[in-house]
Amino acid sequence: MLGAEKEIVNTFVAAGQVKIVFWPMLDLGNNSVNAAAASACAGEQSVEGYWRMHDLLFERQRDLFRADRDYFVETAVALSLDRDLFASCYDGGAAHAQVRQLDEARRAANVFTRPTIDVAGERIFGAQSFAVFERAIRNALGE
Amino acid sequence: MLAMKSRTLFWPLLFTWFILLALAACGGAAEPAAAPRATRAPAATATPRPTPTVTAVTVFDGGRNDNGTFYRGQADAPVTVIDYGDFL
Repeated sequence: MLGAEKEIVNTFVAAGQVKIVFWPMLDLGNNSVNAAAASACAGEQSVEGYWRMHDLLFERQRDLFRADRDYFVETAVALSLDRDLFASCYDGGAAHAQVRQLDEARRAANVFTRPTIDVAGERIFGAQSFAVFERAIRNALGE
Repeated sequence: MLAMKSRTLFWPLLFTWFILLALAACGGAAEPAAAPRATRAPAATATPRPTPTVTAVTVFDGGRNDNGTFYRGQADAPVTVIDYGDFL
């Protein structure tokens, strides 16, 4: 959804009509887990930290297959997050356990296509244009 | 006599004035030559920035749900969009 996310945020989130939840899927090995855990650890410091980490990791998606623990720590530091707090969270394992739990929950909810966007119960699969999401959102808003 | 002297000075003075005018014009034409120096300046500043900037999406207010997921937007927004995705 990332391609359309900016428009959804600017059009609907900014107007208070929509909130966007990110639910991590862990389908592509250890670094799927590590990246989701890194975001969760950024979120331990602030909600804004979570979204900044989320956005930056998606921007640098091509780096993530080779990323190691230090990559995530340095990314957190580059985002002005506290290095020690982040490293403690990342190394502690609780964030990894939590994102694994979320992943099990989405499997239990039969979400397997990557990405899947749930708009008030209507599931949209794969990368779609803003127009597709706009129609679903306006429908959910009763417009 | 004076009038004749003025007449003989007229042409050298006019010539000198044209020369000065031409030199001034050349000075003006040199301005564009300085432009490439100005355009080279950004190349010198195009070094990698140590701090990444996030430009993909503006961060709005948000929060964290009880299940540990995070949301962007207002908690009481009428429509919830869940983005199931993998960072990789």
